[in-house]
Amino acid sequence: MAAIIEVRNVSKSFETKKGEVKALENINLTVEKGELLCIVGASGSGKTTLFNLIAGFEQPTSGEILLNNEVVTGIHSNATMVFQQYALFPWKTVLENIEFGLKMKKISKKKRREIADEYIKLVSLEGFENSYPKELSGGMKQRVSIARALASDSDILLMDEPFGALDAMTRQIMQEQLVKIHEQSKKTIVFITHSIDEALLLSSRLIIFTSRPGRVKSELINHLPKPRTADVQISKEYLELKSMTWETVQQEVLNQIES
Amino acid sequence: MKRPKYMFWLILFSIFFILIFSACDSNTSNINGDEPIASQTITYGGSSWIGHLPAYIAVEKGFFEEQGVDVEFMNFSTSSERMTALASGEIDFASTGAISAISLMAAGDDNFSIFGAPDTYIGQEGIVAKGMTSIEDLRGKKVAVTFASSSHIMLLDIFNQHGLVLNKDVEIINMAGGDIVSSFTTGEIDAGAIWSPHFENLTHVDGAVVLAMDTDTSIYKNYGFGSGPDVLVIRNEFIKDNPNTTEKLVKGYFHSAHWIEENPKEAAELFVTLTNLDIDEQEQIINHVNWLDLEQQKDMLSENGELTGTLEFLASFMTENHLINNSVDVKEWINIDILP
Amino acid sequence: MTSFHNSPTLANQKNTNNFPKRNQKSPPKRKKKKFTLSLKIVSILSFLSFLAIWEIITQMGFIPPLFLPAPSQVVVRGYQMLIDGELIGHIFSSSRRVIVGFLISALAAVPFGILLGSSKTLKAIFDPIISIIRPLPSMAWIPLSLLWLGIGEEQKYAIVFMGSFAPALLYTIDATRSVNPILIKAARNFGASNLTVMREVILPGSMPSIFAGLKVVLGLAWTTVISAELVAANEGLGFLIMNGKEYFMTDVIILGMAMISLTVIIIDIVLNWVEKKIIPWREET
Repeated sequence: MAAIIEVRNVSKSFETKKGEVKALENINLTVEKGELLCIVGASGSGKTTLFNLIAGFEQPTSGEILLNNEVVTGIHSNATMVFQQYALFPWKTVLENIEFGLKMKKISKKKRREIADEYIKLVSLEGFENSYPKELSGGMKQRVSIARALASDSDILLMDEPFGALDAMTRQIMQEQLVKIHEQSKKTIVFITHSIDEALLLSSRLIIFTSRPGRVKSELINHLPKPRTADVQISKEYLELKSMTWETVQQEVLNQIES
Repeated sequence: MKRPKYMFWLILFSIFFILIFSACDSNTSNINGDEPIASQTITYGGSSWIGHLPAYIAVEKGFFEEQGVDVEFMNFSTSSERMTALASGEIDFASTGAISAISLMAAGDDNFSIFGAPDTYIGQEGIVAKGMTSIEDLRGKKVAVTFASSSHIMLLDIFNQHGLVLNKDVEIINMAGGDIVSSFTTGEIDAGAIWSPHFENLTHVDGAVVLAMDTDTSIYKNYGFGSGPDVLVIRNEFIKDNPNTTEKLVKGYFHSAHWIEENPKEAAELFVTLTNLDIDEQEQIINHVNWLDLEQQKDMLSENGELTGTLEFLASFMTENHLINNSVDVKEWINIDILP
Repeated sequence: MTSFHNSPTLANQKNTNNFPKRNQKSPPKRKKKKFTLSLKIVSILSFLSFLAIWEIITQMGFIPPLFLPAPSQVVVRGYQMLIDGELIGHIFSSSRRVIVGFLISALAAVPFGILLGSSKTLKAIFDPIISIIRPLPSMAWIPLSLLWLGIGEEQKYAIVFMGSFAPALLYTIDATRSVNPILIKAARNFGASNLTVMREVILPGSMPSIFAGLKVVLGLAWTTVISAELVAANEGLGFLIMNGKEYFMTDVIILGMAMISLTVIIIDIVLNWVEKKIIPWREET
């Protein structure tokens, strides 16, 4: 499989009143096409900064990022972000929100509608086409947000703790659906989380970040069988993988608390 | 959650009640309180208007002091503000526009008395227009006047005489003196009714014609007073608590009026500090005014006196023209017993 | 936050491609109705007891009517003036002046404010002028407005305009700046240009705050009504109050004040209704 995202020797620092703060230090990372990669790290490990760099909102202090072998120099629409706060436009209906990316691509009204309907079905929101976000629950909002990202048809989805604001039950359902959607759509998904369970449940590979500055601490290939049902989640393999990951993460969390 | 909410309301209501009761407490003591005047300083409500000259001179020349009373001269920009101060007991006596005094009577305040008039000031207000020769020409035109002023009454009186109906035949606009002059100059109004010195300023505008004067009013023709004469007013409570001081006050005041008649130049020199006018101009104005002395007051305010007639006429005129809502029997406010 | 809330015991649900539908028909609704109603009753009771205390105190004769007439006296006066047709004329004149002046200021301030809110450079250019105009009381504009516009209705509109323009502008600038930056980020992420972000995100996104701001400004516009009707006005609630002062008609003064409050309350109710119509998506905060 071909690399779709390549992060080469990327460092990023910010100027603050208290001086320079290093958010990312010498990150090297390759994401394969069609992969669902989870990035795990304690807060403050610069994961969101990495997304901003990939989406072109910010430029690395050193190093470079390539998408489909092209260097990212500015904002582009090839990697769509999904935010923890949903970022739905409150003044647009569910349908209009899902159509937004397509509208930006100047796709005709009729075609937009067709595509949007398809994704509404995918996330099971039939009957809510004309509802405003304020009328939806958190889980429904995030499904709209995911549908909006998928409908825009970029190859890459950058999901920044998308389920972080949901309750445990909804969250689990959303995770299962994401796996399904990923299988069906063949998109490349980079998924930030600080839940190890979530990472193990979703990923084909997971990367653990150190905190302040963010560095790649370790990488794990997740061979757990799919679908990762309740049975898988109590299997010996799962628990071993989990404790292994936890040990690594725990050290980082402790470091951060002490610092 | 509930308890603090009710507590809040309870506190709010308590504060509210305390405020209400303390407010009415202070009010009642001001208006109805029987305590004698705490300090012997008596306050006169005045302004730079010529009608306040006797009181001003009496303070400056020490005519009140000679009588053994201490008077303070306090400035108010309008008669209504001065009368409000009198009604709330902040000043003890004043000279004020009759219209304001009658309005206060109509509002039900019977805590003051009229005991005289400082002057008969006449011939210094009128209706000035451009491009017209008679009052009838004002039909369909805009006339500016300061509402609730003597000029307002003058205008209504003259319109009545000529059969002009307000806001049907003529549009009248409420404006202050200075504004009338500038709007008349720019041609935004066709005519203005105003008193001195704005009156003179109006007549100086190019093409200005005087259509009528205060001497043309039915009030003047019948009683010899202008449409808004100055009257001397005093708080009843002050008279009751200080009968001797009241007598001294009146004596001092009319002594001053008499003195002005004989020393207009010196009076002008003193009064210009208040008016900022040229001394000669001031002296001319003082000479123009007919100062009334103590002897004239009793006559004027008697049953059939000219001032009594003027005030009665004004009161019924104001009621007929819906300027006030209640009819007023002016005689109930006239008190000449305090004149020595 | 725990990392282990996906405990295996909870994960007993079957994988299905369909999301559960049971909760979907009833999105989260707040059970506030009853509480709101009882608060309304508290408000009404507090108002009625305020009037009752006022009535009792004035009827007992502690305060002469010249200083504070009884509410019933004010009501009687209001009824008389209503029968005369006079009161409606005053309300109408003032409402027209306030609404026209306010609309002109809103029409000028909203586009201008959006522009200043989205450009730091423009804001820097106009900041000094705004800072100079902002603190000026509407009454301060009377002499200049008379010189420039004369004594007609334009002058009254101008006074209301000068009293409401600066606040409307500042509210709009704030509203524009308060649009959630993540929405702008999301739009850009989909490839929206600056212009598209303005049209698709900033304009609609600032609408609720602009509307809320304008509601406050309309209230402020009413506070200028006395200044607007101080010169060359023969009608209006401001005139009614000031003329009432000349004739010591305290009941008329209080009537004028009450009419201003009442008109503002009615306009507010209408505006809230309009707001629901034109911003149906507004999220309650």
